[in-house]
Parts: sequence; C-alpha cells; structure tokens
Amino acid sequence: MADTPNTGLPAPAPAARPPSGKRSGGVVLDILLPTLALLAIFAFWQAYVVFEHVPMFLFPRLDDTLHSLADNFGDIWSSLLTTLQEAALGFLIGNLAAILGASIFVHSRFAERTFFPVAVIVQTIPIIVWSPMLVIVFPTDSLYPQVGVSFLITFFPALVNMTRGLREVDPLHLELFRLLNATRWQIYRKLRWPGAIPALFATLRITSTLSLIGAIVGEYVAGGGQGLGYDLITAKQSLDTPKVMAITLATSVTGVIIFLLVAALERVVLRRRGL
Amino acid sequence: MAAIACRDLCFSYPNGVRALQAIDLAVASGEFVSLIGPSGCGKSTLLRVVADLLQPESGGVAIAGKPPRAARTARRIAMVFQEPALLGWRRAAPNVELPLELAGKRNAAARSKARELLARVGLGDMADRLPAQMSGGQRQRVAIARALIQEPEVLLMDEPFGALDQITRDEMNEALLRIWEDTKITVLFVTHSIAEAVYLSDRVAVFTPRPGALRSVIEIPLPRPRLHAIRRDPSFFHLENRVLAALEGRASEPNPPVVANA
Repeated sequence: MADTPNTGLPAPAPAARPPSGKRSGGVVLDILLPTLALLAIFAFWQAYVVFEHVPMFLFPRLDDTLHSLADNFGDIWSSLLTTLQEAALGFLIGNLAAILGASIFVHSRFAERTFFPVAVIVQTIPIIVWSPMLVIVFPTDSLYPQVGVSFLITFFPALVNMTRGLREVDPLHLELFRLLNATRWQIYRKLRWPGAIPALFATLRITSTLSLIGAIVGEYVAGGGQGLGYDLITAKQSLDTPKVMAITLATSVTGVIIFLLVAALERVVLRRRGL
Repeated sequence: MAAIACRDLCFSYPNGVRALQAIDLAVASGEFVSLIGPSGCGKSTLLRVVADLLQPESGGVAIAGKPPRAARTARRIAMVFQEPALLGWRRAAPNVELPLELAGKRNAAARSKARELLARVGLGDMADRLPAQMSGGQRQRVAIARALIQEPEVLLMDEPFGALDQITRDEMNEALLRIWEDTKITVLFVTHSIAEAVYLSDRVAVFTPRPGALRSVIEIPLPRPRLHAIRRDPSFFHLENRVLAALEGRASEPNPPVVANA
C-alpha cells in the first residue's frame, strides 16, 4: 500500500495472480542453459585429460567413456533395471514410512520426543556399519539389503520435511477449525494434509534421487552381485575407468529423468489446485 | 435474555499479563456492538473468550444463557478474522461450504447455499475463483459468507476490515450493514476506526489500555437503515467526538473546543 504512487484515483483491485506460473524466457532457456553448462563441463573434462596427459587408469577421456557406454550398453541397461527396482522400493517404503511417522508426530508430542532422537541417531550411523546387519537380516542374493540402504538414506530427510510440512499450519486456520468444532482427523485431513502438498513434492523430489544413490551405495557395500553399484566395483577393480564413468553417466541421466518426472507430476498437481 | 453476557470477566495470559479486567457487558439479541480501544487492550482476547477459544480466569460468559462451549460445539458462533483465513487450495464456494462440511453436511443443499451467500456478498460470479485470484476485499467477503453459512447466533468480527484500503473498507461497511439489516444477527465487532464503529453500531464499548477494562459504553442513536450520507451529518461528528473523548479518557464535551487565534 505504501509504495503505490498516489494518483488520486481509486486504487485498482490488486492484480489477480495468473493461475499458471509462466516465467519469462520459458522452457527454451530452461533446457538451453543447463545444456550449455554441461557441454562446458564436458569440454573441460576432455581438454584437461588430453592436455595434461592424464593416464587412463586414473581418469578416462570423455570419448573413451562414451565408447565404453556404447559397448556396454546392454549390461548397463540390465543392471540399471535392477538398481531401479531397489531404488523404487526404497523410495516408496521410505516415503510412506516417513509420512506415517510425520503424521503421528504432529498428533503426539510424546511420540515425537520419543522417536525423533532415535531417527537422528539412526541417521548418524554410517551406511557401512549398517550393511553387515542388513546382509545378516535379509537373504543374501536378494534385493532387500540394497532396498534397506535406499530406505535408510531416504527416510530421514523425508521424515523431517513432512513433519514440518504437516506441522506448519496458519494459526488462524487452526483457530477457525477449532471454532468450528473440527475433529483432529478433520484438521489433519482438510487442513494439515492439503497444506503439506508443497512439502510433499519437495520431499519426493529430494528422495527420488536419494533413493537411487541409496540403491547404488547398497549394492556397493552390501552387494548382492548385481546392479550398477556392483558393476562399479568390478569396473574399478579392473581399472576399467571408462566403464566407471560410463556407469556414472548412466546413473546421472537416470537420476535427472526421475527428478524431472517428479517435477512434472508436481506441476500437474499444483496447477490443478491453482497454486 | 442477552445474546452475549459477560459477567465480571477477567483474563490473564499464561505469562501473567492481565489482558481483561472485570468486563461486564451484555449484548442484546440482534444488537450490533463495537469494541474499540488502544492496541493490545484485550479486545481480540475478549472475542476469543466469547468464542470459547480461550478460557476466562474468573467470571464468565453466557451465550443465550448457556456457556460458550455449548454454542461453539453447536457451531452457532461464527468469527471473521482480520485476515480472511481462506484455504488457499479451495475455490471460493468450497471455502464458504467449510463450516457445513465440518458439520458433516456436504451435500447439494450446502453447495447451493454457498452460492446464494456468495451472491449476497456481491461475489455471485466468483464462486470458482481461488483466493489468489481475488482482491483483499473480495477474500474478506468470502470469509463473511463463510461465517454466515453457519446461521450463527453470534457473529464475532476481529478487525475484519483493518487490512483493507479506505475505499474498500467503506464498501465493506456498506455491505456488512445491509447484510446485518437483513439477518438481524448479533454482532460483536472489534475495530480501531472510530468512524467505522459509529457508522455500524448500536453501541460502542470503549476500552482502557491494558489491562483492558470497559471505560464507557456509548449509545449510537442514529436512525436505521443508515446510509453513507449520514457520515457527513453533524450528529455523526458529535458521536465520533464522544467516542474519541472516551478513548482519551476525557469527559465528553458537547462541542469540540475551537482554538482561537489571538
């Protein structure tokens, strides 16, 4: 109000926010700019390795990496499918458990005071310490130890995010619902949960990539003899650095695709709600 | 029986600060009473005690002879806050339906009633707008429609137009007056604006600074229905001055003093 110029005319109604969030530059720049940045990184990579004569067993050239990716595409693809299964399960279980936990926490300070510190402690234990336990608990050549690691990496950030998303409610809304004699379930269902949708999508975006990393780390440390993480170990042990980087590239591309899928889902849902 | 009766009502915050001191106030059914006073004098606190959102320290409140809790759980108390407090993910009509929905009445009758009330507050064509697509005044109209859908016994308004610009505020005063004349609902209205209080009310209750106590209750005998032109009537100025004098703790003067040039 204070910074609108005083024209002496009746103030126009505040401009309604457009229902869809279109930015200047739009999609073209969204794709062009990161592509340029990536190309710059690739160019630097290639130039550095070539001009500094870095030996291949230390770090491969970009073109060797791409060759390796083409040569090993079938292997990498089938390993990727295994890793994706583990990541998907870790993602699903991690998020569901986190949402359940957060829902309990916002209704019971007692539960939060009891179990949140436990969650923090679990989070501080390095994955390497967990892996033997997971291998003992789950059948050896199953996917479950890897799923377990993916879960462990996914759960905590999801729990923290969702607890905050469900807890942070406009105090005025809470007062309104209390005045209207709403039950706790109604407050959860009609106030907390819809209000936490943006937090939910932030959580899903973070955990979509974390669960993939978790699955690979799981294969690396708890290794069931399959998946991208296992391939990484074997490629590394045989000093096949182009393959290591080829697997890394495949992982990154997959992570980006998953991230974009979640972001697209978020846009669709938020647009339907006009946010 | 008074629609709202406060008897010797005291309230202190948990930190020991006393907000309300021995409030005695009876509001008749269908009466429009404004509460005016310095910031932090406990006017909003009084509304919340009446609404059963805060519990009094001593003394009590009765709504139609019963404790506020009975009225609240029967959803007969409606409140309009300074902020519209609309649910941002709901369009206007579902926002208005919320009180009925929480009462388990989510049906066609509720939907048509919501549309009817939106038309009544002048938003007949905005039922499908989201709050973000409406102006501040429009949002507050939705909040008023939401309060009315409960068919409340008492309507508590906590500086409902305080965040609006003067022009919108005047429009909202008009709209509220017309609705009140139609429904004859009991209104307890907190404001910082003397003009608004005088224009709308049957009586204006003036509070002292914290701890809030009633300094005086001023009758506003202006004829009804009140039209905007009355704001320029000498009797209107006179009443404004009486409220101002009460706020400042002066004895009311028949005419404002004129500073003469020597």
